[in-house]
Amino acid sequence: MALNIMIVDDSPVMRAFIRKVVGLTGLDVGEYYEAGDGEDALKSLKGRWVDLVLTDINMPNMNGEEFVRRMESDNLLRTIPVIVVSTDSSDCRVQQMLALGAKGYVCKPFLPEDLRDEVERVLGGAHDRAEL
Amino acid sequence: MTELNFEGLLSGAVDSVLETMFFSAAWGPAEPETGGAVLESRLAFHGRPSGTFAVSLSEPAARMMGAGFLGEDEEALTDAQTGQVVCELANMLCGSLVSKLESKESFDLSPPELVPFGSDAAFSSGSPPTARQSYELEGGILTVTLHLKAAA
Repeated sequence: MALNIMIVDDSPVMRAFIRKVVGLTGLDVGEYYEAGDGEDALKSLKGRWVDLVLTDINMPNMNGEEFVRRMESDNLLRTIPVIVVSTDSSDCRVQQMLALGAKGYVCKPFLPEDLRDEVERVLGGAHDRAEL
Repeated sequence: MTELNFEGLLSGAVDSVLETMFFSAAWGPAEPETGGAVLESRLAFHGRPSGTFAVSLSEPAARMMGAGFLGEDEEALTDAQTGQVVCELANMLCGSLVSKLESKESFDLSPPELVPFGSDAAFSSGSPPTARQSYELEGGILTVTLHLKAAA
């Protein structure tokens, strides 16, 4: 079944880059949704079903930390897996985000296969993927 | 903080980010740009340590990097996209570097801003940079500048 993926990052070019990389992984993607910060993402999630969220941490208005916290406090949204995509590769930050409820973490810079592997690990391989 | 080889850390961050995300490479050290069309982006980082970071890149090199990053033809890139790519480059280089300075501590990065070329001195209160390195790229020169704030 095709996956609906939301990309949350304040940089439009980084959202485009992640979208391109997800395309390269061969994942069967239905719709991409994009948001510029956590607040926009929460509003957008109210009206649609999303299978996976990829989010940055450092964003204006509502950062990734608060966004993940808000998702975890919602009975429906907490069922959506979140992968953090961030420049902060400190152990402390990785552990903090996983403790808040994120299911995966990819540090920038990353190779396309790094993102693919993390998406597959988080989703458990139960999705369609074309051969690379 | 133990004594660090800032130049080595800067070069490591540049190599890693350019090769992984921009499908590009630094050819070696270079003299900084002194004029011409240059895009400059800067941001602040807060944590232990705190400081500021700036990237300047000649416009032709910025367009080339943008094309590699987005997988588009250079002609198809808007000026806004080129500027955003330079900001994202600054963001990733800064994050990569600061993670290596103190990997046990988390940090916050301010949103990168495009600024007039050469305004870094005002940004850093006139203090000399902790490290500054320039690299030759296809299409121009990349200069990265790090200012660390003295611990309180």
